[in-house]
Amino acid sequence: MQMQKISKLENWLTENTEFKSGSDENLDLIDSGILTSLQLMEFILFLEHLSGQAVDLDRSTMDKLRTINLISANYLQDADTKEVAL
Amino acid sequence: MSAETQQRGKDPKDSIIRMDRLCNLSREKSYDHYELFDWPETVDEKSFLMSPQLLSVAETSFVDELTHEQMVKLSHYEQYNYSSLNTHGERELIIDVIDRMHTPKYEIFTEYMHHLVEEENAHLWFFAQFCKRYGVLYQPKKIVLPSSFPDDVNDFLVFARLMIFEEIVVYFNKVMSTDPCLPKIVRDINRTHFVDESRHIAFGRDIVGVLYHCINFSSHGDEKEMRLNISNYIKAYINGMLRLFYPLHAYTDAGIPDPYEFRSKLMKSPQRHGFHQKIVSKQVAFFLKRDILMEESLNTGETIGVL
Repeated sequence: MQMQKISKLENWLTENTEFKSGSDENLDLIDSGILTSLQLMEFILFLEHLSGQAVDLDRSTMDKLRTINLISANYLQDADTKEVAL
Repeated sequence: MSAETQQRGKDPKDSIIRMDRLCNLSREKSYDHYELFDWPETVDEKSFLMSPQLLSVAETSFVDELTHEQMVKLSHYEQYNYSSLNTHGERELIIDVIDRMHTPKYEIFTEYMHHLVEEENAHLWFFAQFCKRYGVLYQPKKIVLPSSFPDDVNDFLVFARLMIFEEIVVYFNKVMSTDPCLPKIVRDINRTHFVDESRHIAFGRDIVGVLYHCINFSSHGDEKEMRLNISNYIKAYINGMLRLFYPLHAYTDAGIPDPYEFRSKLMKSPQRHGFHQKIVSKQVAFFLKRDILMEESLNTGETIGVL
């Protein structure tokens, strides 16, 4: 399930940004200029739709969105995985 | 305006005359925003709160698919979205303008900036009042990243963004200020905003032209590349602004099933593209005339008005 979500996330990035399919999942999406201020709102709306949870906007949010791995860990973990992690 | 700016910019005398005229107009039209409106206790839940032709579903097949009750409900939440956008847009604008007042580069604009801040503060207050009294004040889904543009480009972009935003909302103001199917308070707010914004747009067009002329392109590497980057940014910003009029939170609150899909379909609907292009046509012409929007940029990547 989580892999499917990551795949959808990568598809969104490929269709809407300069992101290249198959890029390193630790690539910094913000420092590399892939996600700009103008794209972030749409990206957050998509992420909320994909994850089913609200993305709270505070000072730490940007760092949670920097890489696909971070996005996955912070927003796309399956409920059962979260329970194990807890 | 500094001597350096004068050398590279247009003759500032024209701007001085225009700013003086705008200051006089602002003084003549000044009002007490706390006393200006008769606020009703409630707004009729069965009446439209935003003009049907301005709703994000207008001219699409969704008009036939939604019931009258759903359309009316949608009009309420799209109005709260529109008023919230104005509230936060004015707030961000005031911050940027105050940050530049009484600095050498803005010397000839500072007197009018005081009027601008005063009037935008009034708008911020009455749009927020409207949301809080009758519905909801939505918070923006926004994270601002540090700009990669040099300072003089950022100065230009601050006022270019202001102009883009104001020219879009003025289109909505103009329609709603005379729409008899809307409550009087909605018409009154939009009429007041429309009158003030016509001056702000005149200011915006003047300062945007001057500040673009003031950009020291020779110190920013490849000039053509920088001009193209600015043009692409303007194009993306216009489309970004248009997307704000497809509010997911409003669709959710209006009870639209699967609001994310609903929004995606609406934004991609070809019937909407003509409307987008109509409401941004004046600003696109303005930017094109000054070579701020470049044909090269328009012919590649995303198209203005196609979301």
